[in-house]
Amino acid sequence: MMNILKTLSVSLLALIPVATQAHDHKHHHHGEAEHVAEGEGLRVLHAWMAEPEGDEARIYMEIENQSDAPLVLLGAEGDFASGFGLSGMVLQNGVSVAVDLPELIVPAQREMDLEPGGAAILATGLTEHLHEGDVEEIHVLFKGQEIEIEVAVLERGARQHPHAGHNH
Amino acid sequence: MSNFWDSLSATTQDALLLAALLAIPALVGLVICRGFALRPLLGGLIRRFFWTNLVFVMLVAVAVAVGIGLIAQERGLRQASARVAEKFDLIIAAPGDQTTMLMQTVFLQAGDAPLIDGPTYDRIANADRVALAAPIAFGDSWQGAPVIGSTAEFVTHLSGDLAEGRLWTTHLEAVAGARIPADIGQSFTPSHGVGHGADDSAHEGVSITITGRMQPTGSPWDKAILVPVESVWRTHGLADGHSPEQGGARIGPPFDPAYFPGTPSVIVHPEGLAAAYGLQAQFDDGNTMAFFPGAVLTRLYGILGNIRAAMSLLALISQALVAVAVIAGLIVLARLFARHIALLRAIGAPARMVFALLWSHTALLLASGGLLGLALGWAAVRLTSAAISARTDLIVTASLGWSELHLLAAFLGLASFIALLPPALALTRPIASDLRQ
Repeated sequence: MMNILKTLSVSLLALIPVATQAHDHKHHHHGEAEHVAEGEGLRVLHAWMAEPEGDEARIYMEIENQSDAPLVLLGAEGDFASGFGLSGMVLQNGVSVAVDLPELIVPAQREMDLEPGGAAILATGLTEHLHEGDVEEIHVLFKGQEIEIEVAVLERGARQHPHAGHNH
Repeated sequence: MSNFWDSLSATTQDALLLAALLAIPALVGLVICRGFALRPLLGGLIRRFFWTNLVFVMLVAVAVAVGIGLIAQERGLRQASARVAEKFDLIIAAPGDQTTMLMQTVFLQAGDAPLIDGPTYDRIANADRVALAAPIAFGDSWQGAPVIGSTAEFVTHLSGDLAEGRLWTTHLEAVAGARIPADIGQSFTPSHGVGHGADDSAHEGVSITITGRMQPTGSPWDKAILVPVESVWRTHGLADGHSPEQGGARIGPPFDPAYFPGTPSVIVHPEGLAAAYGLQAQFDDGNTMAFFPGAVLTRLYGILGNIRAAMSLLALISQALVAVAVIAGLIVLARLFARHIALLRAIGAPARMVFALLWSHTALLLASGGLLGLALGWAAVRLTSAAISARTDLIVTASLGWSELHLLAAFLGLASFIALLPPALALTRPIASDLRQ
């Protein structure tokens, strides 16, 4: 209901001209995203985000460290946002609050799930309007290597990737 | 426009949304009443039919209060339950259902759980960036209150300094939760199990003395008794976590894996949030499950989110229905003062002025009811929060937020349009016949 009210109020306030934005299709397409990307001793699976409501998007994925050394996740790079960082969630006075993280360490031979309510790659200052069905490319930055993976944009409010748990 | 809106802070968005919603009835009123000094006539209408007006205002107020109270109470309960989980950064347990283990470990709901063995606990306790790894051993009770075995460090982590008394120094001493009805120095014998099926005689001969009391935590732990985990193990005839070489009277970590009987769960407090995610990945490995209670609760709240949206919509619909019922009543009421209206029109009052007068009357009743409903809703939330806090183990501190203000403003906007109906109908009445009444 509040979304309806928000839309109504935005319409009432719509005296400000709508800014049109250039749309970069270079690393963007519509359709099915690749589910797996592999690097040296690691795999990244099922990267996704829910259709953003604001100018930020939390990107989730499964990271498998198949090596015998800890894997350090540093962040990401991409064309559809002005900044990328790592973010976690903590409870403060009964409310979930996002907290910036400098890095995340995936232990040797372990898997880390970036998922709603937990850690995520946070894209800030979105430069494109992302819609359900879009696919965006990002480079996930690890210490010593980076991996290119496609991020599927799912419906607004999505809680998990439709293939979550599938072992490709 | 969307980007401009998104660039605003949440508070600014909420304030603008409220202003936009309130602008609707204000604009309608301005257009209808512009150029007329209606206050004397409106005052006369209110005074002439004061008690009838009051009944209508109260009807609207109760409907608005119920809607606002429901939304505020739901938020208060959600935040209270989440607040409980804040001290439980990471839970590690044997593989199973996370929600069940969350209920058992954080909310102290009785149930069976497989145990984590000594070597596994040892790996957890000695993992990098673990600041605290506390075993949580449950299963016994005293007068319905769960008796939980853990470490003194966990008591301090949970409650800070004790409210009174001191921490335990032997396995036959305990620290009571803030709401345990027992005095310092009082002794008890734990029952085996929790609830109606608890066996009061299983641990005969064991006498544990309460030496301290925790600060209130606003959680089910306020109605629990904490004992050294060694006490739980010894009471059940098990090894006490320490080798004979360590000495029979030793209390607290480190534990010897060979003499560690097992624990249903371990609370881990990491040296930071990034460390927490690393530890979760390390110990969610098939042999154990590791999860964040906050994340599990967030998932549950996500499921409940749709219910919350439905509740908001139902609240608005119920208010609109009450508003419609009030309008119907006002249309009937209009017949009572039809003669006065007819007289006004007969002496030359323009139809637009009569329309404005009747609209103002209806809008004033609905707005007064709405504002009174906000106050009643706030009072109701305070009362029910206190009642829920007294009957449950949660400290519910519900308060009014933007959602409730938006709901009220949306109601006022809707009411300003519904209020067009009574004057529109009143103006269709024949003046001559109304004057003869």
